[in-house]
Amino acid sequence: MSKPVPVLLMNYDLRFGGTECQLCETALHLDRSRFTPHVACIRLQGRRRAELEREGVPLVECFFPSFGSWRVFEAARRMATYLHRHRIQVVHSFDVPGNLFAVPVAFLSRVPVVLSSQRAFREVTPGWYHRFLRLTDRLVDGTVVNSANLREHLQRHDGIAAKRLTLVYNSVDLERFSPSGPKADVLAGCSPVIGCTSMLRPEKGVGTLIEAFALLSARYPCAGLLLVGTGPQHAEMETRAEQLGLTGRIHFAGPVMDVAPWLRRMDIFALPSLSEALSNSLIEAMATGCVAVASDVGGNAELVCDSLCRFRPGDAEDLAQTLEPLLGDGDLRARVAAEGRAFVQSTFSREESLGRLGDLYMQHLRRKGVAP
Amino acid sequence: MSVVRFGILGARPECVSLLGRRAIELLRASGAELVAWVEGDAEPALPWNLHQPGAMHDATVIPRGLTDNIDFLLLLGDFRPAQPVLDHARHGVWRFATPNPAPLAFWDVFDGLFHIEVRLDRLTVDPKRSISLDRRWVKVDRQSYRRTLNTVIQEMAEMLVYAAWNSMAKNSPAIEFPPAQRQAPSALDLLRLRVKLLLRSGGDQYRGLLYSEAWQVGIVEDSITGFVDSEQLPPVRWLPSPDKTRFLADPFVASTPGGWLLMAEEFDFATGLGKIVQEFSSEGLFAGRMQDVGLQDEDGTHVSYPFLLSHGGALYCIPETHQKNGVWAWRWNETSRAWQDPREIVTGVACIDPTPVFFENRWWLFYTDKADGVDSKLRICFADSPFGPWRQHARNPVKTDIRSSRPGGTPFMHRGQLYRPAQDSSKHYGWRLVVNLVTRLSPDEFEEEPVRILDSSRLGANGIHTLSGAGSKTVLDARRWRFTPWLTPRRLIHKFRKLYQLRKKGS
Repeated sequence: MSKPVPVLLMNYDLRFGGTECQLCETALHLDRSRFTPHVACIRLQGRRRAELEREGVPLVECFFPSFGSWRVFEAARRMATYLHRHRIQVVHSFDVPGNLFAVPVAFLSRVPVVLSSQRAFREVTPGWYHRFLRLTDRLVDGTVVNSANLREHLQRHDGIAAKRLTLVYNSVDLERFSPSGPKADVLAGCSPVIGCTSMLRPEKGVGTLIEAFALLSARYPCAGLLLVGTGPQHAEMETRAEQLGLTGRIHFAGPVMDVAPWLRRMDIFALPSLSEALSNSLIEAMATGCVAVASDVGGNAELVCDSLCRFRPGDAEDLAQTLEPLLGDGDLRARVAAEGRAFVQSTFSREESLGRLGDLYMQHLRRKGVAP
Repeated sequence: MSVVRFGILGARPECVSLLGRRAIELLRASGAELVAWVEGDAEPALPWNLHQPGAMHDATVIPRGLTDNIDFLLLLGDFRPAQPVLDHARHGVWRFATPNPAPLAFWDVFDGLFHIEVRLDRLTVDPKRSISLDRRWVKVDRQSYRRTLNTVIQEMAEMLVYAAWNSMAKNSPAIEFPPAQRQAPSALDLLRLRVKLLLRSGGDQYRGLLYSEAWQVGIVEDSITGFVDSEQLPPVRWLPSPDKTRFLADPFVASTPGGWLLMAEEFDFATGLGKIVQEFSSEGLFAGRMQDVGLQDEDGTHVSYPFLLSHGGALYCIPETHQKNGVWAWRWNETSRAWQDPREIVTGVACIDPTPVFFENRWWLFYTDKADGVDSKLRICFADSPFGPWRQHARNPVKTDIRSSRPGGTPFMHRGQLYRPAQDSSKHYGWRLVVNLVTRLSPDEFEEEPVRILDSSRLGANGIHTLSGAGSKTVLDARRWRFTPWLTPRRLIHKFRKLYQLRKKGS
């Protein structure tokens, strides 16, 4: 049996976010008989670091404060040394700005296979990042995307050839995200509960959800809103909820290590993102048995197939109208939730996604003559 | 507690590596009994005769072969024992591990890494998986392979003693660690390392002769919790340094009924000592006009880290006074705006950066002990009152990690969770701050996770080691290098004097 191939997965940091979550899933569950995962970060911070450390995944920090700093060269030397010392055969960078740093360093270090990921629409990245990404697109052996919509977008807008783009859906742990299990004990007396797990950043549009909930609150006095996650808009959102008189009916849970119990507390999961390639939170919510309602952007339509459960991004009234029939009809909620879970089980299992990713690594390694 | 009985697997009593010898010596000194030795091959030697195997002269009493009633077998050497051997001892076969074990610590120094992870693993039936009994992160001395090696060996040996008496029966899940990298250095590598060490040492000497370090205190008009929520650092207003021969560091802030109080350490290059200074401002507009508060003895001991604690309606200052082997709390008198009634709260321990915090109905004191080395071993005591009497945490030292152990400011509650600022001194002293989230804290349990790194380069500095907050104010410090070539002759004289004293002491 051949030795496992050392693979380096790169990201900016290890906080709670979709990309970070997928990186950790990959590092922890990639087939160890074929690969030995290592993780590199520009900033080795965030609660996922402890998780990876506990599982014995080697971590390396290649810190630099900005691309304009001379320390970027020190970080590049550090990474190049690590690649050489651990005989890394595959470098897979997960997102910007990791792509802009890891891809050139791996390319210059003559790592046999260099892959990047594109997990969000490039419109949300700053202008010069976008231009440099087009450059790194030419240095990589392939780009992994997580939604068909994004693949099409990259082909059309960035001119990346179809054969260089590989679709690997995000994976979800179906055992952890199942309807049965402990439930967060919050919003006692509220039913149904609408919820969302998201970073509280402008592009996530969580403000729209709060406004929509305010529109519905009078008609559904028992309904509650549960928001899990934090971010720069956290304080602003709490103030807005207070202004709308929703104190006591909205619960801000902040960042949590395990979102599954919080998802189980939700009946309807509403994702109001203004830009989204393919949302991990949405997949996890569907796996947990929540009814999924999502804005009509990016890959959300690939997950929420029923157009009745989609709404115009940033439109609080449209979101309120979408939520209304679901709030009033428990049977409808149960049917939609069951369909959603079945769909996730068939398409987004961890085995399926990581198997595809592993095959992709091997395919490139064979093409380069590194693997038999 | 019953006596620990252990055996050695591999190596030969007449030819044991320095690590093996040190581990056995410390274990026996701790009261454990060496009861068996199953001989194996001689262990590989390290470069430059640094680690040549030697004889265990007092090991002749050891019966050759396995005996019953052994707690664990320590594997020395590089082989995998047969499966029946794994089950022979009550708690299995243990082995030291590092990511780059051969030669021990060589490639870590070679690559200029800041820290090394050392582990003590229990082998399992699955050759790829092992149970980690203890893991520690040790500083790499980038100027000396010998010193790094000594530190690593000492840490590994202490880790073994700790595990033998505290976590022998630990039964955590087996982990698949990546295969260790083994690469014998060539003659060229040895030469390259010599050159690298020379260059690193030269660089440090150059900086030491031409530059002075200067810490500065900064004020942020934002709550300390903002450092957890946001990646962006809020604007910092820096206070001026007293003069060229002194600097301010270790700032703490508190609100009092009459205004705001800023405390800091003022370090004087001339005396090499720190003293506590304060500035009181009714509006909280600090200008850096600090006054000596007289918390130090007349005999000239170093005082630093003036931790401020509000308790029972009073404000206390708990400075670090490790040279006096104790910790004192001083009470703030609002009327005279002075500190009074010193009260000894810890006796007989050289606590570094003592940091008390109230959490889940107990008072907890976080500190590192001078006797352990100042930067990497976190210890905790607990009590019903912040004045003691303190009881030791069952797992002390609860954590050995150069990256996030030593306290670095005020712990704070945020969204119902306890956060603890700590110093990362892996690259150099006070390199950066790590904010840890304490996930488990009880008299016999402790776990925390780093959630935020405050890097000094974001402040245009190369060091940061204290973060403290009260209400809407946060204070921090940052280190910068000042180009002071006019002080070079004085530094040279100081260096020669030190060398002379060392030689005199040696002879």
